[in-house]
Amino acid sequence: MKKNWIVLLGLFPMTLMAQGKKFTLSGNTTQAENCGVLFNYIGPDNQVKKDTGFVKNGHFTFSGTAFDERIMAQVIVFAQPRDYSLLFYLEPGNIQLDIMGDKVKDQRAGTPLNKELQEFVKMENAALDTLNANRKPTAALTIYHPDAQPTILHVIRKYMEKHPHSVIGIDQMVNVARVYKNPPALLAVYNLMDNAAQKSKQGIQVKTIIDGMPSPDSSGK
Amino acid sequence: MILHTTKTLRAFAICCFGLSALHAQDKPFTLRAGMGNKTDRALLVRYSLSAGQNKDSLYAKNGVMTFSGQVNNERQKAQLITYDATNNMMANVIFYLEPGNIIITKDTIGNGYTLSGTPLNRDLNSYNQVFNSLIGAHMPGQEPGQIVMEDRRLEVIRRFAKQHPGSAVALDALDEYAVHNKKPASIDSVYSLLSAKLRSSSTGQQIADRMKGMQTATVGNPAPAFRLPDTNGKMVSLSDFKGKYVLVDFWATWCGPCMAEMPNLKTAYEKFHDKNFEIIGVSLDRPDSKALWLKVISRDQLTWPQVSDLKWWNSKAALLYNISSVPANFLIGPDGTIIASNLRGEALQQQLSKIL
Repeated sequence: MKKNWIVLLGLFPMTLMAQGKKFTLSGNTTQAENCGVLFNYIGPDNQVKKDTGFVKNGHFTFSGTAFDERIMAQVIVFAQPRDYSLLFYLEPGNIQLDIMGDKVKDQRAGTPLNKELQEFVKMENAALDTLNANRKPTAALTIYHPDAQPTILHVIRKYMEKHPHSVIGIDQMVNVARVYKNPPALLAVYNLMDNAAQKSKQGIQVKTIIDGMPSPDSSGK
Repeated sequence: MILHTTKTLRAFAICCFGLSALHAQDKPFTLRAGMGNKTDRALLVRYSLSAGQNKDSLYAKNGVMTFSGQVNNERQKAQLITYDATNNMMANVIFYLEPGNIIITKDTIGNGYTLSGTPLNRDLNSYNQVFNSLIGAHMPGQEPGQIVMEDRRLEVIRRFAKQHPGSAVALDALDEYAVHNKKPASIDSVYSLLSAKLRSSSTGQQIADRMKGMQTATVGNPAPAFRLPDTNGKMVSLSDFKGKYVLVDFWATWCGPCMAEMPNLKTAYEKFHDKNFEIIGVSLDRPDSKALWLKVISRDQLTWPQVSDLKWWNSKAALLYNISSVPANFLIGPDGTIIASNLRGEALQQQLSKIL
């Protein structure tokens, strides 16, 4: 949970998207029939916004006005004995979320960015499963673990090769660059991004992080 | 950091106090929750079909939170979502909101909670004990996974129902189980353990309707009959449309995908209405959403008959048709047999073109 918050904080609002368009969020979960649900995100004013709702018969809904900027949001389903969360893009349209308590079955759908994010997450899960194949289940790496970051970066590269104009890659790089201090590896992927991605708020953010890292030959040895 | 926004929490509280107008049958409750020293605040989320949702903020004093209010005569649950600022962690506990002094205590071992103080919460605590003992136990010959968990869950309800056949906790647990588990025979084997009084209660009838829906609401079977009020309060029955091809469309104003589907329905209605085709819109809107339901029908010019008992997912028609998500629809032939289900987009027009 704590780590999810950190990811959310790393993904600040970005490029222009849609002026005052409505979103509806329809969620399904098999992990609870009736319980509370929290919907939250960091708005364009950098303030945390949140709303609570109620899961009824495994369903919940929220609606509102999307922002001009690209924003990530999170829902947390307060099932028992544990809660379940999912990150997604808050964008205009009918956002559909399936929270199944299983990273393979969790789904984001219904809107363009969420479809793209879902495809990325699918690739990421497959790569992580391969990475963890020879590890004990108790020692399995999550996407947040520092040792998993080279693999995540590789996934971003693969994703960008398939979708050179997608913003998903640059958004994901913001998280990786915060943890993975390897400027050449990061730059190699960053340079694959198109001009729009590089000049976007996230692109500038990633480049700034990379530029702030000590270069490999500056150790003084 | 996120939950440091006490302003928002306070705003919730102000809204809640505004919403919680006293009803004649309301009775007082107090809540005393010892959630551990690290928990400094919590959000109390409560919902009832008649009163809607309330949210209240609670703050710990010496590790204990107290709250008091009024509760109506519906049996209802509430949830305390706690926040531990020191560790930036959240936890939650579900309990019955009922008249009397409700006590929640964090267990000294593990992450569980003990519920006490009122009848239903004492029962729920017993249920949780059975649940915790059985859900963690190894069952020989079974692989781990969701199905096993759900099988164990039914076993928990069965054991509890045997010990407490008259407890509403068993009834509610079975009602929740039946939402996601479409095995009428398994559900009925536990349902039959419950007392006659519970089975004839509104929730008991709800489970019976749901089981009936699981068995009958499929293509080739006779369409389950229903009778619901239209927008003017006049009762409308499915049988009123016998002899026509009827699409029973389950939708709700809060359902984005349902609204996205409306243009397809309108096109089909305009094209085929004169060819013995009718649509009955069954809304799963909430009791407090009648005005919105009427507004959307008018705004979007949904000209076909619209009915709803405004009972959300507990609508009798939704139970009889085993509806677990919306939009959902059933195409019924002139003889009252279900011909097809869940015809979306082009599929509806294609099907209608074949038969009309």
